[in-house]
Amino acid sequence: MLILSPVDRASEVPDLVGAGAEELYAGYVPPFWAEAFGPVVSCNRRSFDEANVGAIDDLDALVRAAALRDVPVHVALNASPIPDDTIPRLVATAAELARIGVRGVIVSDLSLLLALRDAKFRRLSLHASTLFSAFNGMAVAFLRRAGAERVILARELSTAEIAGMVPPAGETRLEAIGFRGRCPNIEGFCTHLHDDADRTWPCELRYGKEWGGPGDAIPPDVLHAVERDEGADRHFSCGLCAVPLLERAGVHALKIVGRGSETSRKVDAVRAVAAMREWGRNRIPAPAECARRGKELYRETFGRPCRPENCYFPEFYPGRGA
Amino acid sequence: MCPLPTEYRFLGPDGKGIAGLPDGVGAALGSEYCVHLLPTAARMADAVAEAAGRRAPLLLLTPYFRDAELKASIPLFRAIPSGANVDVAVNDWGALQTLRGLFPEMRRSIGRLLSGRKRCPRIGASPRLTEEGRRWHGEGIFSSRVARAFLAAAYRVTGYHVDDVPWSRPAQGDDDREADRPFLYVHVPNAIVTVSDDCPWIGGVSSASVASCPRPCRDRHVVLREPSMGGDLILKGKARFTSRDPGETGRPSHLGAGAVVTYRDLP
Repeated sequence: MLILSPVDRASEVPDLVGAGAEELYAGYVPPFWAEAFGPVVSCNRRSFDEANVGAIDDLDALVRAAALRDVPVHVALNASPIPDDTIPRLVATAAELARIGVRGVIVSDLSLLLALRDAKFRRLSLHASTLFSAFNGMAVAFLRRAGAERVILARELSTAEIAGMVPPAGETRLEAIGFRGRCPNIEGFCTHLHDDADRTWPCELRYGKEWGGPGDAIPPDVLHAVERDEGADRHFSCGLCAVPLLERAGVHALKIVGRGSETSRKVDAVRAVAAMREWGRNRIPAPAECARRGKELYRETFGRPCRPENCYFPEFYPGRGA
Repeated sequence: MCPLPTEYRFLGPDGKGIAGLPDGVGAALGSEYCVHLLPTAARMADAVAEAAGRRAPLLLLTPYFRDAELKASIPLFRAIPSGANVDVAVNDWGALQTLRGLFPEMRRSIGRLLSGRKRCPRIGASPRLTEEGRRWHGEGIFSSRVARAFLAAAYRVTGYHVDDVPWSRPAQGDDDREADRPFLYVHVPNAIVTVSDDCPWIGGVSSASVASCPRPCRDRHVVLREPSMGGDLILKGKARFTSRDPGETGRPSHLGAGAVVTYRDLP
C-alpha cells in the first residue's frame, strides 16, 4: 500500500519523499477558472492560496522534483459541478498536466470524468474522488464504467468493509483516506460553504441548540453526541490503527489529507503512517495489537491521546463504533 | 401555460396515510439518508397496492448503502412490481448500478444527495462569493447535458431531485436552459444541507453499527443556531436541513419543477 501525501510546492518534495511518501497530490487552479468563478469557488475545493500550486511552471518544477525520486504526482480537479462549457477547457488543462508529467487527476464531477475518459489520455490515470461517496462495490463498478481507474472510497467505511470491496474491484485500484482531515459529515453529501479560512467552518461551529421533541430538554446522550464533533480539530484526525489491515487487504494507497498545511505537519503525517505500515509489515498483527500500536504512535505524533471525534476507524476505539 | 407539477407528500419512512391523500396527490416514503428509515419489503408491497388503488404515484426515497445494506435492500426493490407507478430516487451510484442490472424497467431518478446543488445557508450570505460563484452553487449534475445523456442512456434516469434555494433559480430570459430542461423533483420547504454517517440518536455511532433501529429520530429534532450561518439548521436523523423557506422569499418557488415533494415533519 502506497503512502499518498499532499504537496504544495517543489521545495517540499525531498522531505516528504524522505519521510516515506510514494505518491504526491497537489492542487492547481487554471487562470480561466479563477476568472470565471471568483476567489471562493475553486476547481479543487481549496480556495486558499496555500493549498494550490500557483502557476503551471511551479507545478512543472514540483513534478520534476518528484520524478527525480521516482514519485508520481496527481492533481486534484475535484470540484463539482463543472459547467458543460468549461469541460473542454479542463480537458485541455488535463492535457497540459499530462504533458508536464502529472500521472493522475482526481475528479468528482461525472461530466468531467466522462470527458476525460473519452479523451483517452495515455499516461494520465483518472481517480474518482471521495466526493462520489463510494460506499459499496457497485459504486466502484459504476465509476469504472464512467472511466475511473482508481476510486477513493468514502471516509466512513470500516476496515472490514473496505477489505470486502477490494477483490470485486478487480483492476480498479482502491484508495482509502486515513490521516488528518476527518469531517463529521459525509463529504460527498455535504454542501457547507468553506468560503473563508478566517472564520470557523460550519462543521466545526458550536451551535446554540433548541429542542424540538418530547420533554423539556435535549436528552443528555443526544446532546453529547451532537457536541462531540463541535470544535473538533481535524488536524488531529487519524486512522493509524487500520494501516496494517488496509495494506493486508490490498488497498492500493492510503491518502493523507492536508493540502495547504505546513510542511512539517505533512512530513510528520507521512512519517507516522510509514512507521505504522512498517510495524505491520514486520508481523501479522491482530486488530487489538494494531489498536495498541496505533494509539502509541498517535501519542508520539501528536503529544496527546487520540479522541473519538478524530478517529477514522472507530472499530479500533473502545466504546465507539461497530 | 405550464401544467401544475405533480405533488408528492412525504408520509414518513413507511408511507402511512396514503388513503387520506387528496385526489391526484402522490406519496413519498423511505429516506434519503438512513437505511434504517426504509420500509420493509412487505410494507412497500402494501404501499404500492394502496397507491395503485387510488391511482396515486409513489416515490421511494433511498439512501446510501454499504455492501451488506444494499444486498439486504434487494427484497424492498423486488416488492415494486414491474409497471407500477413508482419512481425510485437513488442517492448512491452503486444502488443505481444495481437497479439497472436487476430491475431494468424500474423508473429511476437521481436523489438530492447526488444531484449536486449546494444548500448551505452561508451561500446566500457570503460576501466573498461573486454572483457567478453564487449561481455556481445552484447548479448540479442535472445542469449538464453530457451527464444527463449518459445517465439516461446507460441507466434510464428520468429525473433529478433538488432543493429550492434562491441561488438556484434560473435568470429570467435564460431561454436556452428553458428549452432543454431536465425533469426536476423540487423538495420543499426544508433543503437538506449535510448528512453524517454517525447518528446522534443512537449515541453518535455509525448507523451501520446497529442491525436495526427503533427510529428514535422520528418525532424530534434539534434546531442549531449560529449567527454567522445566515439561517438556522435543523438536525433531524443524521441530516441537517435548512429552516423553512431558506431564501426568505415568503413562498417557496416551484420554478422549473416537474414534481414537488412536500414535507410536514420539520418546523
